[in-house]
Formats: sequence, structure tokens, C-alpha cells
Amino acid sequence: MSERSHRIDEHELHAFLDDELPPERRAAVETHLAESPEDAALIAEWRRQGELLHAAFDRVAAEPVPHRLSPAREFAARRSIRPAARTGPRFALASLAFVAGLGVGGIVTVELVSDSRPPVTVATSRPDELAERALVAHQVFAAEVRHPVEVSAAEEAHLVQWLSKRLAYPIRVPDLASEGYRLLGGRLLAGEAGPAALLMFENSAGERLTLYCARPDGRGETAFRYVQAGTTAAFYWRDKDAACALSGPAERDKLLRIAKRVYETFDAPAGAPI
Amino acid sequence: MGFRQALEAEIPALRRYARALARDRDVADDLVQDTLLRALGAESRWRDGNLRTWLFTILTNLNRNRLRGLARRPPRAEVETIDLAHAAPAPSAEMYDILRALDQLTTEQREILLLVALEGLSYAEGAEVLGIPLGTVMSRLSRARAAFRTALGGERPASTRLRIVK
Repeated sequence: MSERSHRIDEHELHAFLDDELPPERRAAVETHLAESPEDAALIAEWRRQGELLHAAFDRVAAEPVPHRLSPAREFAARRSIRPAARTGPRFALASLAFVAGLGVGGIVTVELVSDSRPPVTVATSRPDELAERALVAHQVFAAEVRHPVEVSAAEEAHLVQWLSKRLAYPIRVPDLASEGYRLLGGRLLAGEAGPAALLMFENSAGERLTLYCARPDGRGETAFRYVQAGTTAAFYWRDKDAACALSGPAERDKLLRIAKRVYETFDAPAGAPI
Repeated sequence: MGFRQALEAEIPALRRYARALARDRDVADDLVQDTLLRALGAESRWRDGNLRTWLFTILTNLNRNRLRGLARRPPRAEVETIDLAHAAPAPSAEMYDILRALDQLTTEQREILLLVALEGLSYAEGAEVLGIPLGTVMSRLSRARAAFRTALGGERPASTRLRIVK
């Protein structure tokens, strides 16, 4: 325990942790740490930082590498513009077809097929922000027991008027009774670029669906897309009438059927019976 | 191992580093793609050397250019993208804490912390990537860990003891 061994500067503590010390200094730091619980705790804390970073980001390294980054594939081509859907949900929903199958990252793109045009397959590498926000809102609020909504269905007229006014576009409440869901109510949320509305529905089993609507943002139409995150999933779409996402339990066929219903509600001319 | 295979072997780590730096999945993969394209473009000039540090250097510089570009543009809130495709249903509270804490570091601090603590680069490699002397690596890393600790430390009060750094 020479006097020297106690003169450890902070850089040496870092270097000790990072395995950057020559053996003799390493031994000196070890001796020092045995006598200085505070410095030992500091090193433990730094080590934990590294563990946290690995916990947060190692999964990225474990992901399958996207095709565009694979040298074996089109990688040498200049970065391609991420494809946008060419067909919109305005085409006949009756002839919905699953085209893409399982997309990259578990996203399935469902293309709407028009009578005149062949189906277009669109590969999406990730959902857009609308879907992400909708799913998060669903996860947060559908789980809420006491305050799932701000304004309940008892005040439906007020709810619709209020949300329509805040979003500055007419919100419509789809009738999902045929699917066994009734309106619970709704709330105002912060969306991508302004207010967004969240309507919540519930069936007799207590299962909840949420409809997230933002103002149409003029970004053009997208296909009807399916995105799944764990046990929750959403169908989402954008067109000139709406930018909506319907989220619920990840049962694709059922969710699709209901999403169609919602889409028709928004697509109907104002004042038309829904 | 050929140049291309060696390059390909580095992609997972590059993606991890890029994601931690840029956070947004697409932005991060764009950085990786641009890094790979530059590396491929320089393939003929490539001689033996540390491929890893070279790639990390390119990516770090591309990210700095990107941030400079963002700073020049009119202010727009940077939006955190949550990677739902591969993540658990929702990011855990702890994950949010880590991401938020990282956000509180300066770019320089984030770079050195990620290079050393996440990517496992040596100090000498970190110095090469960042183009700074070894001593600067150490002082920057020391500040980065202290800042990260403070930023993470919501629930655990940081030690009140002041340490004198020579």
C-alpha cells in the first residue's frame, strides 16, 4: 500500500474499466478500488451504462440487414427513394387482396386492387409515423381502466363537434355495431403536425379498438397497410379525406373487415347515410 | 477475406452505432448505406488497415454533416421514431430513460461514449475515428460518462462528492 497506489486519477479509472491500462497500473487501481468503495461504485455505474447501451441497441445489430444495405443485392445502386404506393384506398374495397404477404420487418402491405389496374406490391420497411403514433396511443389508452376517454359516448354529438373543430375537418363515428363494438368515447391527442383524434370502441368482451385520425396532410394517398407490434396491430391509410389508423388486437382479417367499414364511413359524401 | 465480405461483416455494428447516433431507423440506415457506398467507391485505394475504424470514421463524419444540415434548416422539431417492427409492443420506460439520457449528451460526448462503451473500440481507435489526440479521448469520455450518469440518474441521486481531475 504505497502512497503512489492511492494516487489514481479519474482517467485511470476509466482506463481500468476499458481495459486500457498496463498491468502494473491495473494492479495499482485494483488495490485502490479495494479501499475506495466510492470509486468502485463509480466504475460499477459506468459499467452499467455500457450494459444499458447494449440492452438498448444490440437488437439493431441482431436484426436482419435490410436488402438495400446488402452488398450482394442492389446495394451498389444509389439510394433508392422509398417507394410510395401508387394505388390508393379509393379503389374498390370489395376486391381487397393481400398481395405482399409478409413484408420486411413484419409489415404487411395490403393493396387495394382496382378493376382496371393490376395490383401493385409495395414494400415498406417501416410503418409511417401515423401508424406508430396510433399504436402507441392505442397501447396507452386502451389499457386505461378509469379514464379511457375524455368525452364519453353519452355526449357523442358534442364529441364529434369538438374533435371536428379542433382538427378542422369532419370527424365521423363509424357504426361498428355489426361487429359488436360500441363507441366508448374519444379524446384529443397531439398528432404529427397538430391535433389528432382518438375514438375508442369496446365490445361486450371488453376488447377495445381505437381509431386514430389526423388531418389529411396532402402527402398523397397510401395503400391500406397493416402493421403489427406484438399483440397489437393497426390498419392505416391516408387519402384526401382522412389519415386514419384503426388499432386493436392483432387479428388481421377481423381488423381488416372493421377498417373497411371505417374507411367507407370516411369516404361517404357528407350527409350520406352511413 | 475479401474487401466486400469484410465490409459486410461490419454492417451490423455500423447499423447499431448509426441507430444509437441518429435514432431514426431510416436516417440511421441511410447513414450506413452512404458509408458503405463511400467505402466501396474507395475500394481500389484501400490497402490494409483497420477497416472498422475507417468505416466508423466515415459514418461519424456523415452524421456530423447531417446534423450541420439540420441546424441550417428552419427549426423543426426532431421526432423520435419508435421502431415498432422489431421492438417489443412499446418501448419500456427504462428504454425511454436511456434514449432520453443519450439525447442530453453533446454530439461529441455521444460519439465517444458509443464508440467505446457500445462498440468496444479502444481509445486509440476512438482517437483515430474522431481525429483527436488520445488525451482528448480520455477527457471527453470522462465528461460523457459523467453527463450520461447525471442524465440517467433521475431516481438515484448522484454522489455529492466532487472529484478533482488533474
